[in-house]
Amino acid sequence: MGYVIELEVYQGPFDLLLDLIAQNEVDIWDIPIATITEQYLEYLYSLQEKDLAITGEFLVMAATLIRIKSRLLLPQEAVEDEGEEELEDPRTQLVEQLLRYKFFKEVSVFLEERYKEASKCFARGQRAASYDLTPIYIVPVGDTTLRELGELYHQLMTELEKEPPVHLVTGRISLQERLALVRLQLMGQPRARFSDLVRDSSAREIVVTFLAILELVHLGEIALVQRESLGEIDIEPLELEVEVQR
Amino acid sequence: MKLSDARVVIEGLIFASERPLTAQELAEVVELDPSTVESVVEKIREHYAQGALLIRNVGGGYQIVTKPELSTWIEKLGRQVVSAPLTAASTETLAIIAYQEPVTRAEIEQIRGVRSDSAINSLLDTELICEVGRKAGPGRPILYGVTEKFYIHFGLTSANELPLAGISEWK
Repeated sequence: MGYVIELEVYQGPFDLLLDLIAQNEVDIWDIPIATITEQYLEYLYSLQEKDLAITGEFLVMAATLIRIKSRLLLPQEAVEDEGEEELEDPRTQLVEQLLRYKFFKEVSVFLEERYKEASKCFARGQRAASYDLTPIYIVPVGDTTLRELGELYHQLMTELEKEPPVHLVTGRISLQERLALVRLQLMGQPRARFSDLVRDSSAREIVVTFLAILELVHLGEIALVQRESLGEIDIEPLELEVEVQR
Repeated sequence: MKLSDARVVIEGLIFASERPLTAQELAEVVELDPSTVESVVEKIREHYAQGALLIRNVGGGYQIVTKPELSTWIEKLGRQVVSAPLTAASTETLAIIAYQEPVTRAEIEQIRGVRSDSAINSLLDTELICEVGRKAGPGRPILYGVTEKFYIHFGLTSANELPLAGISEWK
């Protein structure tokens, strides 16, 4: 799901603006745009100082505020064309958006109250099933424990720390070749580990090796065992009648 | 069915049902008309006044639940009151969907002024909203609406119970 980090308590630029308007105790229909813009930008700077990323929406709003501010500064010429067209306050559209948002914000407070109230009433046997609001993906990989995740991470990291092997020759790796090679490596062994087969291999070689073992599974020559998800793949050769086949 | 029997039968039906039953549904079972069912339910309610239970009207249906004042006791039983993590973003988004349904993600985001996909996704996961169709027009965006579960969780009878104050200011 990712972590949701809310900036201070603000849900977005509208939320921040409404709060600034409330703090300044000004009429929403007559916002002192210069003051509010200044405070709005101050808030953004304070976020920047805390090294928090400012989302695009906040920046767009900053631009809108500055545009409105500049339009208010320009002398308003009486518009001659189309006579009746009234000079619209550049703030109007923003105010309408703010009011609309404010309405829903108030409704969400109402809903929260209702939610709290309603959750005090218990229906018969229902709580466990349909009242469970926990999303199912809280457990991402089945029964994987934190410990197992830690071990996997450790394994990965040790892999990454190793010096990557230097490959001087990049030749084509044919599936046939790789098949033969895997067969050779499996000969006389009760089992092999996939990670051994691809030790020091390039990404391309790993892919081809993987295709090779899939092919061998298809041919019925081997069985693959993976005990836990993302864990080691064990390769077990099956009865040897296959050698005759190919 | 005699009216005197109806009271017991209807109470039993509401109790046995896994989800809220509407007056219409009850009426079909007991073969009375919905308005009679409604008045019978009122009778059961009066009858319940002294007891532990009440009949709640959620999403247009009746549901028998324990009275709110018992919640502290029931919690002791280990059945926790789930004040599930509904974030402010989720609740805001939910409010918009409840009023504006059917509504697209873009319309929600326009009102909130911020991206809302994660809020929408978590509401979908908790089944408080669902996809109700697609809007005609470019891209055929998905339309969202609230679910029956929404009404149950918020103890609301219908959308009419949502507050209207202030709505004229922007509508």
